[in-house]
Amino acid sequence: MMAKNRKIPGALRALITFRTLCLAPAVLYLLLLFGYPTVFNIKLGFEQEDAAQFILHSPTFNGLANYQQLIHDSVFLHALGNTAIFGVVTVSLQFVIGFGIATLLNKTSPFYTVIRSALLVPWLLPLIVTGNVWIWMLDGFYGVLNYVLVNLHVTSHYVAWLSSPHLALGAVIVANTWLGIPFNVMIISAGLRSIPDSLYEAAAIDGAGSFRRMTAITLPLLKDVTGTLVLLGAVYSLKLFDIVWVMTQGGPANATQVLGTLEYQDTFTANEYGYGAAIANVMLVLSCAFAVLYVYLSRRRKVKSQVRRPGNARSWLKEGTEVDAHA
Amino acid sequence: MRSGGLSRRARREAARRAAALILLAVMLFPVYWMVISALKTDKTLFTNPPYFYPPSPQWSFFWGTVEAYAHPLLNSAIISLSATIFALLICVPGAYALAKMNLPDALVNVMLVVILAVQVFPTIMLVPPLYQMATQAQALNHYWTLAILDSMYSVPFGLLVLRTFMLGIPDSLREAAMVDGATEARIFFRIIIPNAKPGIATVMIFAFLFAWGDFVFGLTFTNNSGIQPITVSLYDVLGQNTQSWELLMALGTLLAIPAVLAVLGAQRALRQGVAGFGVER
Repeated sequence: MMAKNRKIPGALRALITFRTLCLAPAVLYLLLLFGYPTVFNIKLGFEQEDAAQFILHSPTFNGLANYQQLIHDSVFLHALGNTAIFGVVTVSLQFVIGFGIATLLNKTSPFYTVIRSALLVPWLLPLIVTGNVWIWMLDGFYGVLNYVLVNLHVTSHYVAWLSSPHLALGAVIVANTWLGIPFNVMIISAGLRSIPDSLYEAAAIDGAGSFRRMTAITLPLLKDVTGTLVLLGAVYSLKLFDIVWVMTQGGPANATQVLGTLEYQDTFTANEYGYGAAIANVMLVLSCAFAVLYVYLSRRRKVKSQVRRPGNARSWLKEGTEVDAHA
Repeated sequence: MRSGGLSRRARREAARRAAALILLAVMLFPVYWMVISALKTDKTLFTNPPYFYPPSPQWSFFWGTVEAYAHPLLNSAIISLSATIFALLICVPGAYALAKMNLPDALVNVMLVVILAVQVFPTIMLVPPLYQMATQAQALNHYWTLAILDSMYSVPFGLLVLRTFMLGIPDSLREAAMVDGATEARIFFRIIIPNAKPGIATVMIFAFLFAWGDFVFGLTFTNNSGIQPITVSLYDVLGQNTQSWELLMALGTLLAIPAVLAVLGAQRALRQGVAGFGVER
């Protein structure tokens, strides 16, 4: 007992220093690479800075002028709308298709496990590769997609998808949907596995058909999974940059302009650093709102799962249900 | 009657497997199309109807591309490996501190919320201020700058994944070692790291893939080809007036290799990565 007591202060001191050594790099990292740039942007949003001022590090304060300009900037409003369209359409398509695929593959035999794994490839590809191959498939003269669509009589002739202001957004959304489907399949599969078979058996005994089982059991119990996917989809559409930049650079005529591409363009092409920062700050507010929602939902879910269905929820949590749509 | 029922079930299962295979083929078609386009020649690439296979695969062109782009490929490899190591240096000790070192609850909670929030941040939003920082520090066109920036894709993710992983290492191991008089550092290296290996592997693979796929940092923070990653080389070719599609597809195929290798060889790590963003943070 005495020996133990004498030991503790020494161990405690060692703990404090080693603890600091472990935590400090992470804290410094977050402050320097995430914290400082964020604060920097907030300040720069109230300033005007062009290329010359950028070189001299001498922005001039201009109050809310950037934001006043933003509300009247039709390109910005258009980009905001496009971001929303991207988010809503991508999330819905990915969920519906992902749900279909996950249901089809919802078996434990190795055959289906291998297929589920192989499906992950599109999700792990660098976005620039995805953009690159879709440009080629959508090509107006030799694109294989045009060949397929004409032969299926969906279109009557070859279409230059990406150079049409009316079609480019849809074309980029298709590519963007494709790359996110595997992720949705994985998450929904985990959700499906967490639903106990006994529920379906009981429903079958009660004479419920497969459609009824889906609407009364599967979909309601996938509510949390759906919420997660919708939220991550929203976050992802705010992050949208690479694939749009590679495929269309926001064009033609701003048809595919989203917040990310507009911010980059205003900053690095137009050299309007302050204005670019103002757009970044709009993105910051939106992503913080999603983050708050995300924290709230995961906390609530944690409490709920602890209270209501401990055994089942544990295994479900371990399986995991979320992944970041990368980049 | 009975055997009829069985064969009906067998037929249904066969149909299901066929549907699954067709679906896989459709989903992976763009990847297939990229690879075979890289192996076609000008004559077989620009035809109507297109060839759905490469009539006389042009391997020499593919190897020629590897040779011609060896330098940017090497740049990408160096940058991604450094980014991975850097991310691990931040994440492993950081996650350990957050999981096991009895920090005040309030501090842990604040850290977790911050990490979650920055994970949600669009990278593109941070690019201009980071660019100004790098300009002022005269750090443009540096391997290290790109390695550090590329680690940003995986550090928040890695901290959360590894923390969850380390929470699963029983406290009794740590306590037993402490009673034996082991120092904190010794416990960390001898007990925690070996026990967290699968989690570390997961973070490693994702950190590499994220850095390998980086485009925006490479595009913004390099302006000479000396240290340019292969993603930016591909983008440059894409921007040329006369696009060489066999070259673009060959470069795309090369860039896709790590993702394919991960799917073939690191299933467990991938699944854990998918699970990693778990609700239980």
